[in-house]
Amino acid sequence: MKNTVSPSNLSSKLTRGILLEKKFITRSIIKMRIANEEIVDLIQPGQFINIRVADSFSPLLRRPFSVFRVNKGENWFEILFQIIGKGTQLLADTQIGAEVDLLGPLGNGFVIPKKLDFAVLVAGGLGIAPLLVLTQELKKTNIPTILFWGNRTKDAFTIVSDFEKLGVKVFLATDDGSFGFNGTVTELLNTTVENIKKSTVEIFTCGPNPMLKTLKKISINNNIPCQISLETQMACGFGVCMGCNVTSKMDSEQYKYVCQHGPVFDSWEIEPGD
Amino acid sequence: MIDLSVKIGGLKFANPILTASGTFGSGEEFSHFFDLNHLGGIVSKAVTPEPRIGNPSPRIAETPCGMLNSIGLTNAGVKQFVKEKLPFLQSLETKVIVNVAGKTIDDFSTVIKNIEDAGGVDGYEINISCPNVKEGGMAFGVDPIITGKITGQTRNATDKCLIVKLSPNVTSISDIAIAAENEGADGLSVINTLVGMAVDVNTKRPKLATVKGGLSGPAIKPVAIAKVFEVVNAVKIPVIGVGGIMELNDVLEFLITGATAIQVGTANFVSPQISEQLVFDLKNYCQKNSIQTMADIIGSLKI
Repeated sequence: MKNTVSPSNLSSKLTRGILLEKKFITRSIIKMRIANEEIVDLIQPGQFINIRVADSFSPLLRRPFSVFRVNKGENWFEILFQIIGKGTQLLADTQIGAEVDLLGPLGNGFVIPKKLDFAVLVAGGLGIAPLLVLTQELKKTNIPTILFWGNRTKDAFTIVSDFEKLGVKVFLATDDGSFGFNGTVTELLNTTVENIKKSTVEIFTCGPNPMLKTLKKISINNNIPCQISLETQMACGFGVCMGCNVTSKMDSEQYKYVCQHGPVFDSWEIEPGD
Repeated sequence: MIDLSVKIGGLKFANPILTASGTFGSGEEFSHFFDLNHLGGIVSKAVTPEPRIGNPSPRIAETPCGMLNSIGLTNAGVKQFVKEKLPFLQSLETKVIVNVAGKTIDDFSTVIKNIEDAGGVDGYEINISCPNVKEGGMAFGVDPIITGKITGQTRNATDKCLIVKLSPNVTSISDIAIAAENEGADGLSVINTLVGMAVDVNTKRPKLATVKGGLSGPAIKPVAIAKVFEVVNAVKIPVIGVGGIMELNDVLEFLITGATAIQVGTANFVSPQISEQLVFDLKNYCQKNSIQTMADIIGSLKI
């Protein structure tokens, strides 16, 4: 465990944004656009924002959201989330024009290596959320990008166009076979991993832990570097509560902390939970 | 001129707003949110003689108006604390209290001696009330005899302000409070977290890896107020109220009940600047209500 305070968290801001726009992608997945001048310039791909969804004691804690897209010229960012409980419901109910209580950007994001033939993004479900900002950044350095995205059903795939507009080649999978490859996203990746590994590539991924475990194995077996974005319970998001521990593979005597050392880790650093 | 200062033992705090151990790191994590010197004091995360990695994940579960935690006194040990955390704390003008924990009775004075050698802190808070460790922790704080022993031994290890943090998970908190007072404690922090548990109904598993944890947040405030009431009526030394403070009225409630100071805990996670805000809010309240000193509020409860 690094015993120092994460520099990226020391530049986070406690501020308020204005909800500009909300768009339902599916019945329960929502995209929100929030205006804020202080945070937007600081956001790095893979960082997150802790949002207080209501001025209330229940829910009490902030909720962490990956930044989905940034527009630094127009001073807004977007988040993409699913309504899964009271907290996310309250956020979804926020009126356009209302203030949103923000803390961020937090954590350490993706690192784009200098020499890369192309980038491989792998998302499971809403693990897609941090990958568009990354794509925006990859586009700046003209690194070709391919995306493998798996979902239970085809409903959420409408936002694929956001990636395609940035020139990303997209491969889709559904568990129910209703669209694209019939199976999991890691099975889809496996069908072409032999071709991929001939080039200098890096995998960038986010999704449910079982998927991340499988992907970690694929990346190790094929000797492809892999950056994993993890999600855990956390109370603060800035290295104080020590609630977001994950098992460290580098040092079995220590844990890593998602908000302080992550949320993006090199795959060999950590073991995703069950 | 309003005087917000309060005294615990020989130690004078500029105001009664402190931060609770385990919710404020070693202060540095909050230094970009506000000027820490506006606070009455900072209580550090617990320090033990040896490094502790803490408990497995998940360590956190949100509950109505509160949260459960089972962190398990994660810290890098006193030697690393002195090397890496203490210099920042020493640079502050606000009062610095180091929270001290241990597995054995001797551990507490070991930590204090290490920090005394380095210097630069204003006092110690003896943590005999953590519910999340197998050895020591709350097991000490539910026993008046062990409480007395640890208080006496730590009293011998330092002349600085000595505060004992009490557990609410006891039959009679007054007995524990009296034991600490008799052995030389300068003040008492009341309360640490309540033992709690939550279950995921889908998986039928406890929400914490350790099964049970410590409940904090506004949900426990009425319990904390009742315990402060009991303790201030049992001892003569000052009491620091802790438990669920989120806003000015909570601060006032504790002070009126008889607490000399308060600690802000879980609220720091939600609103990192809240402790400073409470100092300003208290000052404004005093101005509006022509209150000159804290003695005008502390213990003003009418029954």
